[in-house]
Amino acid sequence: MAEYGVRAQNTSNFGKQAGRSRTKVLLGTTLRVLFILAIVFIVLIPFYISFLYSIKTHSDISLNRLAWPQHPTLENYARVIRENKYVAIGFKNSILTTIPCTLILLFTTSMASYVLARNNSKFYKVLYSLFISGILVPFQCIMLPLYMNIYNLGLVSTNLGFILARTGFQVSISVLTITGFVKGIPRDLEEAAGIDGCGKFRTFWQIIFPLMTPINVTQMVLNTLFVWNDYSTAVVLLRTDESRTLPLAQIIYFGENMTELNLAFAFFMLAMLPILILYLSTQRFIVSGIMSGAVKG
Amino acid sequence: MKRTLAILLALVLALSVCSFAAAEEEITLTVFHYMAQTTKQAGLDAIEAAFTELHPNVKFNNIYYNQGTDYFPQLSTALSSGDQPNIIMGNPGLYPDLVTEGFVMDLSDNEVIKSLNLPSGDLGDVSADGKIYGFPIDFKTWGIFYNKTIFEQNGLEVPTTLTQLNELQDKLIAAGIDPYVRSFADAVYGDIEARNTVWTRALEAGDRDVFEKLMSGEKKFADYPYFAEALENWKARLVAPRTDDMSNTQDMALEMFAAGNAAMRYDGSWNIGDMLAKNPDFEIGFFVAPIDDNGSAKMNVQVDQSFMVNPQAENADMALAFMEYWMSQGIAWSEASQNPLCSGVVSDKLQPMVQTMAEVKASGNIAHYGDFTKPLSSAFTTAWRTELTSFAESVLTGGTMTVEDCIANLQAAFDEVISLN
Amino acid sequence: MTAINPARLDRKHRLTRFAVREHGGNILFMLPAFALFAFVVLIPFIQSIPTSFTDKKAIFAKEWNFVGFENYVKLLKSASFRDSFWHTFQFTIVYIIGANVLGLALALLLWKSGPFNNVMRTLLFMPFTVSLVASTKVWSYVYTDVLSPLTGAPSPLGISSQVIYGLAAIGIWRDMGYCMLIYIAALQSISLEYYEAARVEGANVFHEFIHITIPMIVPAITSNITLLLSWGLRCFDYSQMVINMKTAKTTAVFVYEYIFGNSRAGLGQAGAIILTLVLVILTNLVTTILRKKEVEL
Repeated sequence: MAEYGVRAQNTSNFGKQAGRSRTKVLLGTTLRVLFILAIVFIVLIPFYISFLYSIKTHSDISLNRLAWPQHPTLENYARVIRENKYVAIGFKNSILTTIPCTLILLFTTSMASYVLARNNSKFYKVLYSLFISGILVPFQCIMLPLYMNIYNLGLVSTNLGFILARTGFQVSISVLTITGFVKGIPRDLEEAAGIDGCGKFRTFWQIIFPLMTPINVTQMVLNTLFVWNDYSTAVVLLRTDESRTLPLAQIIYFGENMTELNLAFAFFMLAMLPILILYLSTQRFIVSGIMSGAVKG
Repeated sequence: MKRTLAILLALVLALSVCSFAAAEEEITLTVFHYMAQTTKQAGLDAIEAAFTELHPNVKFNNIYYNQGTDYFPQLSTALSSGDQPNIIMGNPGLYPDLVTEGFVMDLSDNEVIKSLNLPSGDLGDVSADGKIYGFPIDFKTWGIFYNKTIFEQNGLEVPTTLTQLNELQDKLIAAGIDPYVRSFADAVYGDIEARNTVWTRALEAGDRDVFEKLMSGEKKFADYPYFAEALENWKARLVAPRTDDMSNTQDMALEMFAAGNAAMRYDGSWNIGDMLAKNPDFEIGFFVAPIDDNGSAKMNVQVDQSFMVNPQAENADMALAFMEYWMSQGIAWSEASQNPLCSGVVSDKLQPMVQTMAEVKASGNIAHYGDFTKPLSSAFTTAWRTELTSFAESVLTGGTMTVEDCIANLQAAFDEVISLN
Repeated sequence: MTAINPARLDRKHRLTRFAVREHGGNILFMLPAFALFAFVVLIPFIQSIPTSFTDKKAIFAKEWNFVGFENYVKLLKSASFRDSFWHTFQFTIVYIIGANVLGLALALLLWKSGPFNNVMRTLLFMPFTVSLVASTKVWSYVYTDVLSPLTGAPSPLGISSQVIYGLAAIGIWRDMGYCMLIYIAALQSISLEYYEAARVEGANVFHEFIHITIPMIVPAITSNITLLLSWGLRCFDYSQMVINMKTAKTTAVFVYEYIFGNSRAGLGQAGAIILTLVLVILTNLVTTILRKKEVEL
């Protein structure tokens, strides 16, 4: 990255060329940093509010919403976990559905995307468009038939039914990004493998699949985000208390327990924490993965 | 693809067999409801627990959806696939398709309902085409809730005429106190503010079919002078706007009201429980908003919790037994939720104002929604409510919309719904 | 499904067995993803079409009549349906422009890797990890508890002339970090030689931006706009949170209300089909135009 430094803050570098003083360069950098910090500050407000409300007592919230609490407390979290069985149920269900979804998607969509990226005949192009058009169908349009099909399989309010539906919804966007990435992988390696007499299956798993790691990791994390955060599918398909996922339980709790905003926000933070931790610990991959894959489409 | 499907199906079958084996002979009754208030849910749990003590093999699965957005959609989705809930919350008149398609039991000859000798309005609210389809558990009303402490501190008295109400508002404003905290982010509030005058006047004039005719297009809003009167009365209450008038949901507003941020709040009886939950020391009073200086205003009554029994669901007998139990032993429910029962039964655990509501209803000097031939259907209700919300916004923000404009907008919105029917 | 171009078959006459094996292999590779996609999106969508030509009322009604194109005609004549499209477009335009302009500006400031920039990127992407529904819940409090007291003005969500922009702001908050990452990727892939050459010719910063940076990131612009277009036009959750404001009712909400809430399933389904068609046409149009630019530049 060091050699890119030439273009760093091209405004200021340019200033130097025009014979401007170092002070102006410094001023430019300061302005840049201040501008970024201002935007980051605004972006973080909703997180701050949620956190703030979640550590306030009920009376602290009613007295003054925005002030820092006189006695910050984690009691709200403790109460939500203790009194609300849906935290445990929700965690269990969310984990049991999100992990299979992302794994199924990892294998199925990387295989499909590989074929779609490597074949240019009309048949594959049409198929590709069909896959991609999936991101354009409004959920409300297919909600009823989908529910009926899942119901007819006896899978309403089950983890399996939710996994099926959520995986299906993620196929389109996964195929879109992964295909774009595979197009950027040179064909030489596979051709060499083909000459060596490797079958398609082995070529894919031994040569191509490892090369797809950056985009696969990224897409896995993005899929985790989408599946974990899903509300619209969950609210339709998961109708028993025992089958609720965490965000569903959280939104229902939010709607039902508005009397105690501090508890609602504590639950809200609890539901967001795992995904935030996942994001913060994998953000290196996401950022680099999105950057390497998405543009090449 | 077939092979995948076949494998899938086999999997599914295996799974469903497992779940069947585990079910044994326990009965689970599914209750579809839209009771958002914490206290009501506690009440539901209480009444179910009491029933389970009598019938240990019965369990309940309560499914809650937000009424304004998800309730009927989710109910419909379940019904259309054959996934049948046992007990369905709602007034049958609002959900005529449930009746047509046979998803609700005819209760016209139900002994428990008969034995309560309910007035025509209560039965009308749970009827469609002259037959009874729902259990009318309790009723709701609306009007002005006031903070007794603020009233006492400022030497204010409960107004009985429109002039007195206006004077009261002026006094509060002069004292630097917000007269009302409002919550027009919830569409129902414009509706209950306007209903008060409309129901009273329409029933007084004998226009029992006013909503039916507006929905068919046979009559126009301008044909009934009391819609304009209702808007004028409401407009007089839309004084001293606060910045949160339009963005408050009912919970946000209740929070403010319970914290003493305003002297009054136009609200429904369904929030009494939650007002007290937010501030247990809250001294609240209630009065019906006057609509003129002659004391014409009548307390509005509408059946609140109404439940239908689905004859197509399994264990319909047990569901019926549960509803009969609730209908006849409802006082525990009433005490938990602070909702007055239709049967008129009260206990001293009820707030005094709740007891008063029950007394006023028993006196018969009320305007009951069930006495109209038909309630507004959901598409018309949406139109009616959104137009009223626009009116409130315009008045509160110093906009230009007049009462006549609002009447014209309401008519246009109704015409639009009619054209899409 | 396996319609192979006859001309190709002729050409590869001797290779027919190979071709069959090749295509067979390809199809096996795509099958799992396609089956999931078909089960959840494609088949339900096809199942939903016939309803739009009926007068079916409640979705659970057992009887209905075919009415031809009557529903479509009614909707095209209906003012409220047209309004819903107008609101959808308003939302989408503000949302796309806001998220892209801010995303690009941030990318220009943060494209260089370094500890400060990396942390800022991570923070700016964080809103994307929050679910849509949860975002709307928290933002209603941000508007009333933070913005209103600070500015003394009411929350935009309560003002009919501002509500759609208030909603778009939430969308921008959530998705600009995603746009930013895509732009950073594009910026990092531009070779510095272009800038050096431009400087030799005496171009200024502004010229560089217009003549080098923008043309080089057109693929990223295409990718961002396409994705945000489909998210924006399907806008449902945001609009749903201010259900009482008629100036914020989007087509997706209109469709949902008519299919499910108002028991006019046939009419609502016709609206859903129209919405899907508009989405497909618009997306194709936008992509085609942008792809053309990519080639030209």
